[in-house]
Amino acid sequence: MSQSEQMTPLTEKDLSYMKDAIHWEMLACKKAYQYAHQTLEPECRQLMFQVAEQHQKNLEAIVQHMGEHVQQSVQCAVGGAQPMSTHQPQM
Amino acid sequence: MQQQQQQQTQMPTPQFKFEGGHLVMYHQEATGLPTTRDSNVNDRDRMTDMLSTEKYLNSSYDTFLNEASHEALFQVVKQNHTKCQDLQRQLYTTMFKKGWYKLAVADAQSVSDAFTKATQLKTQLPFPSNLGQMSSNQGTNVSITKAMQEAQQQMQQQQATPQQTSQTAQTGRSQAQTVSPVQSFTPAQQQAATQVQSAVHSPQQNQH
Repeated sequence: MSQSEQMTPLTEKDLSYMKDAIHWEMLACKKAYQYAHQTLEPECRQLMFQVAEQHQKNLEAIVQHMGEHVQQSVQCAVGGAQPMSTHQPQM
Repeated sequence: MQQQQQQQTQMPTPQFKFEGGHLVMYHQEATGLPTTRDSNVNDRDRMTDMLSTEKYLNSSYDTFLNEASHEALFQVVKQNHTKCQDLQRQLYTTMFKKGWYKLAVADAQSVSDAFTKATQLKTQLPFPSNLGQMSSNQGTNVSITKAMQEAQQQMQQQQATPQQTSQTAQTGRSQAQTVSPVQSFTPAQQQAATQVQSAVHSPQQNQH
């Protein structure tokens, strides 16, 4: 990842979609895992486990990307740029 | 992890056969449809539900990709989307193999009809056909540059001769005016018409 890409901030829209996607993946993962235990037919059972595992990986990928942004905002704060939450005009 | 991915991509392509106008697996496995018919959720129900969950995820990720702004995030989401599409395909293939899906085969006549219509539609396409050169990008690039050159030439021609075209348009209009009224009108009206004609012609003459 290049320096300029690292500095691109996350928009509100991006963030809310990421939250949504995490919920989709969590539900799909739990569902597939439960179905895998209930399924009798071996091939379907194995496929269900694969599905659950893949959804967990997808979720982790999104969370990992989110984590990179958290680190980045910390670096910004150390570098002098103020995060939005602490930026308040002093009267 | 790479080995797993390879296994996923190397799913054997199913062998089909036609049965009563339906497309079914050639070696439909012994399990087939669940035999018990009660209100309990069976294997087929679970697979169907998981399949529709994947479909839902696919369309949701599609919207996400359309709306995403951050480039790195876009790539992450794109990868997740592809994975979900693969899962959906695997679920479908497995269900089809078990005989839980039966699909009607299209009539051969309607296929050939649709093909004929599509071939006729192709005459409206702007570029020369690239069939056979699909693998090489060069073919398309050549036709695009050719089209751009042609468009530029047309632009230059229009810029070079704007007066000529406007003049021909004017003369064309005045000819139409002379032809139609003279035949049907009375002499007095003809006079008026010729006066109008001369009035129309005069600015052109001034131009010359």
